[in-house]
Amino acid sequence: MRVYGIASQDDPKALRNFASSFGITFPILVDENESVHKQWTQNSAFPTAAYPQDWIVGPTGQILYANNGFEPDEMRFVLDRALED
Amino acid sequence: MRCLLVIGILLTGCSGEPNPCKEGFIRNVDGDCILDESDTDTAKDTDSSIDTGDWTPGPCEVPDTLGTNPIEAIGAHDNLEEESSGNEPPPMLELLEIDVDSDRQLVWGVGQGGLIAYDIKNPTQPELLSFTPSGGFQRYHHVFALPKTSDGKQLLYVSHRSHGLEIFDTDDPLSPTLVYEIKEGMLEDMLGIGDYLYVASRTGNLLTFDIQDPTQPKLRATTSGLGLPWTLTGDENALYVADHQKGVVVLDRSSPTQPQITQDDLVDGGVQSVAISDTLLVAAAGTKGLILFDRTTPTEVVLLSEYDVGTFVQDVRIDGDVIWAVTQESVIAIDASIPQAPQPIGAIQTPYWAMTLDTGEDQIWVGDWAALRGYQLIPDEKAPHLDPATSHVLLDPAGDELTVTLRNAGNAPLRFHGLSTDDPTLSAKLIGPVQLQSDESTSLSIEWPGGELKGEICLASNDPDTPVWSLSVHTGGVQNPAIGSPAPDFTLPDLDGTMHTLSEQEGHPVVLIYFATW
Repeated sequence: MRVYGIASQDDPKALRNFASSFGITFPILVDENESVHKQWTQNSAFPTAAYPQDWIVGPTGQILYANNGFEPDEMRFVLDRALED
Repeated sequence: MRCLLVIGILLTGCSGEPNPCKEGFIRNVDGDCILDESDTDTAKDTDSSIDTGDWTPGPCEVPDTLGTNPIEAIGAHDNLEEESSGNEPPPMLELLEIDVDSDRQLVWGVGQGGLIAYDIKNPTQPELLSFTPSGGFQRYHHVFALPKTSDGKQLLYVSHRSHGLEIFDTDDPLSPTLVYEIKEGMLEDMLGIGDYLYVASRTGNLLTFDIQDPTQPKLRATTSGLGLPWTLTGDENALYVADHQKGVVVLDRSSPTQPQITQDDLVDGGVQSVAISDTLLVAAAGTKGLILFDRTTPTEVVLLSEYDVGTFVQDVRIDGDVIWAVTQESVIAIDASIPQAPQPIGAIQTPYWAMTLDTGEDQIWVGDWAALRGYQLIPDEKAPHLDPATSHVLLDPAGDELTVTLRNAGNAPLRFHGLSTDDPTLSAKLIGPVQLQSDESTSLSIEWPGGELKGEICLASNDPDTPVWSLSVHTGGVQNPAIGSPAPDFTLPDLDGTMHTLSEQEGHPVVLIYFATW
């Protein structure tokens, strides 16, 4: 399983601070011009522009889950099934 | 963003109380008082382990006799509805934190956009009094209304993480006036007690300001040892900090200008909020739920119990024996009269995104993103509450079967009476009990032979908040068009400049979290 944080519109220094403060060990990727975000939100109809927005991609590259918010139970459910396969 | 991915183990201690248990409770081997489930006086009309082979589900409809949700919505001001009704509301109203001033019957709210004042004289119709834009400050995070000063001043403190602290004269809530600013970054929550204002800073320090002149705070002390503080509460004896790194930090306040840390790391991981009563300290610990501590000795709190909320708990308050909390999607109430064994009272969904709450005189007020909502408890009302493991499932187009756990998180028996699917190829059945006692679970089994699907499984129960619940089931496509579609590939640098390409992670599930630090 791979986890990535992605930030756009954010200062790299603030991101670094954030990562070390929270003890985040997964890579934080910088989507500077928001192009990746735009691609991903094209089809995900999130009701607000609020963060966080999370996606789970399966081992064969299909989007399994998309959510606006943070629902660890749901994500665990999807991941358990993805890891089973 | 304040949510946190932390995997940790909470060390549990055992606190045996020598007092007898309340009626209906018995002592277990650990010395804790727990619900006496062998009590035959408790009304149980059917055996909870009813064999589902005997159960013929009825249609999925709201039952004729539905219990009453113990939590009652009494009134709201919904800024989004104001917009649609053609009034002139503030353009961007977000309630990240609220502070109820019961003396003045006002609620102050802050968030992205600015400072909002509500009049709650008539709690069934809260009125938006004023909106003060935060201008270049973009987004306020915390608000604290100082009790009326001895010379009659009404002041309000507002903080913004990057830009500092602003002090408003709120004598006229229709037009709060900025009277002072402390331009210092990293400031989080504030608490005023007597002549002192305590401000938690993301530098890991607690700042003590002398506010004998409340419009001119003077820094008196800097206490180090916090991690990443978010909110704080306290009284004359002690201060309690909700900290994303150090869980809960306790400070002795017997010397008001020299707070001393007496306990830290009380919870392993991110705590969002803390609340106190005379005897209790409760921490809202995100996915860890609510953690209860005995506060009889204010500077040496003792772990009592943990309460699994089932989802992410954001904020908490205590009102007598009742603990109120918000979980972004609901407001929940818990009976803590026996704090070693907190019991659910009920839950009510909030339409938007509940992030904050505060106690009023007779109500609890919730900041539900763009709406202020008031709630109260109907005394002695008990209700079941359906807590499903998930609300949507993705099935393998080649055919699939799986189970979803359903739990009763309420305090009255939950009975299922209707189950249906809207696609003839999709079959669903309960393979466990169809009546659940409090905290009992059952399983919904789903089977599907394959093909293309976008469907719903409908389950009806006597949960007054969600009597008809839908589980959306699909193979991708319409529901959320993204699901099932190939993930757009990308290559992005991390903070060290190393490039990462999504398609190179083939063979592993990938979790992507889009966030911001502001």
